[in-house]
Order: sequence, then C-alpha cells, then structure tokens
Amino acid sequence: METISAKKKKLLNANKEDDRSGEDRISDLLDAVLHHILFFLPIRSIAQTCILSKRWRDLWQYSFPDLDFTTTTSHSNASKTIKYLTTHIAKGTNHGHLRAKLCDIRILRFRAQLSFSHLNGLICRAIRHNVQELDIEVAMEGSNFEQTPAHPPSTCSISLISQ
Amino acid sequence: MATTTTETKMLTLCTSDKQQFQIEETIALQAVTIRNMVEDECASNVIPLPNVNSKIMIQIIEYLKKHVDSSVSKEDMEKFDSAFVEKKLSEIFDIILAANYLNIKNLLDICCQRVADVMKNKSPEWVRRTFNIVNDFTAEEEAKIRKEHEWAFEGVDED
Repeated sequence: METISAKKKKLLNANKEDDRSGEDRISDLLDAVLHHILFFLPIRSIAQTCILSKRWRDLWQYSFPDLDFTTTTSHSNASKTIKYLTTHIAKGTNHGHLRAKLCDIRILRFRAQLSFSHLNGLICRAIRHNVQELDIEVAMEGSNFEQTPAHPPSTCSISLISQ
Repeated sequence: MATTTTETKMLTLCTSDKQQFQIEETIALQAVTIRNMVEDECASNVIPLPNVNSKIMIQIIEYLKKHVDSSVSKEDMEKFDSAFVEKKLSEIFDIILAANYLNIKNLLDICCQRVADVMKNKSPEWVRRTFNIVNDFTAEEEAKIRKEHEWAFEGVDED
C-alpha cells in the first residue's frame, strides 16, 4: 500500500527526471550499454523491463547475459520464480523462446528447491549457452531425487567458474 | 611522478562541431580509444572525435582532469563522481554515448549507475513515462508477458 504523499513524491520525482524533450533516448542505446545499465539492478527489476516495449522484451529475452536469481529476496514468489526458471530457461520452450537465439548466458545463479530433472535441464541449457559462471544451490526433496535416501531436504551447491 | 618541468606533451582533440581542445596527453590517454589511436600512431597532433560535441567534451575533460589527479582521496573522488552525475537524463545519455565511444570505463559506470538508480524500484509505467518509452504492445501481448513473468511483477504498483 502506498500513501498519498508517497504518490506525490513519485510524481515530483517524475517531473524532476523528465527532460520534456519527449524523446526516447534510452531505447536507442546499444544493447551492450543497456546491459551495462541493467547490471546495476536486481533481476526482478531487470525482468520487469520486458514489458516496457518490444525493444526491451527482446533485450531481456534474447540478449541480457547475467541471470542472477539470487537477488530475488521474497520467498512468497519463490515457486513462481522456479516455474519461470524451469519452463522458460531450462526448456526454452513456450512463446517466449527465451535464449532461443544463440546468445550466451554469462552468469546463471539461483537458490531453489528443484527436481533433479529440472536441475539437469537448467545445467544443460546453461552449458549449451557457454555459461561462464554457474552458481547453484538446490534443496532436493528425497522423492524428487531417487538416489537420495529419505533425509529431505538435502542441499547441494554447485559452482562452476570457467576462465 | 611529476618532478621536472619538462615540456608537457599536449594533444588536440577536435569535436564534431569542429571545436579544438588542447589537453595534456596524460589526461586524454585515460580514454582507451584515444590511447589506442596514439599508440597505433594513426593520430597526428589533432585527434578527430566525430561522435562527441564540444558541450559534452567540456564535461568529459572536467571528469578526466579530476581522475588523472592521484592526490585526490578515494572519498573525494566519490564525492566528485556523485556530484558529476547530478545532471538531466538527456545530458547523462549524451555522456554515456561519448564515454562508450571514447571507452572511459569509470565514467560509463557512474552514468549507467545513475540511470539504473532512476529505474530502481519503479513500476514499468513510471519508467515508460520518465524515459518516454512508447509501449508498442497490444493489451493482450502485454498481459501475456506479464503472466510469463509473474514472479517479477508480484506486488508491483500500477503507477
């Protein structure tokens, strides 16, 4: 919930930032420069840019190289984040075709509770896209990971940093 | 370090609007693009910078002059940097373009950080308004993308 004064403050800020030229300067920047700007934001804010316009959707879906899901703090949407990871990143299926183009993933980091097959899918996809830094911490339920006797949840960490 | 008063080597930078700036080589060489031009000896005395206008060049030189000075403490440099980026967004974008072209990493960093700070914790609608980004999605397309990225939009204000 936000208060009226917070809204007012927002509007004031908007006016302060607005240079009134009406020109969209930011979308004209090169992908590499936009990546540079987005590097300073947590993944949730970066992903939110995908609905700004088609230019920004493509930037998020096809070219942004650093996928660090450890910056999502809320536990309430953890399951939705996992769903996103497994349906859009692991398989690259769906209309989004995330990473369908041959663009490299530089960093993939996440902490999640996942099934073995989803974990496997994510790792394969990351490697196929020449991941340079893979930093994963997974908790697996015994039922999802057949070889593990029932001491759930077990946590395992995988880190791979190449070069 | 600076001891003798031997001649200081100067470089002349020529901007897109044909203004010439004479600056010490050590200051100019912080820009990797200029350094490469000088090292490859493809630069004569006058270095043409067709992608930078004089208004932006003045600001870039101000930045480079400060950053070449090794006597400035880390703290003071940070203060300088945060004051330096207190500019209108349109100016920041001009500097970003120039810093990217001239390859001045620190300058690009602080300007990109400045833009990111504006976007931080703001709704997409706010970001669109502030940066004049035109939403070219249909309502259906937008709803679909929102749905796919539910995890990112949860708890975000419409405004």
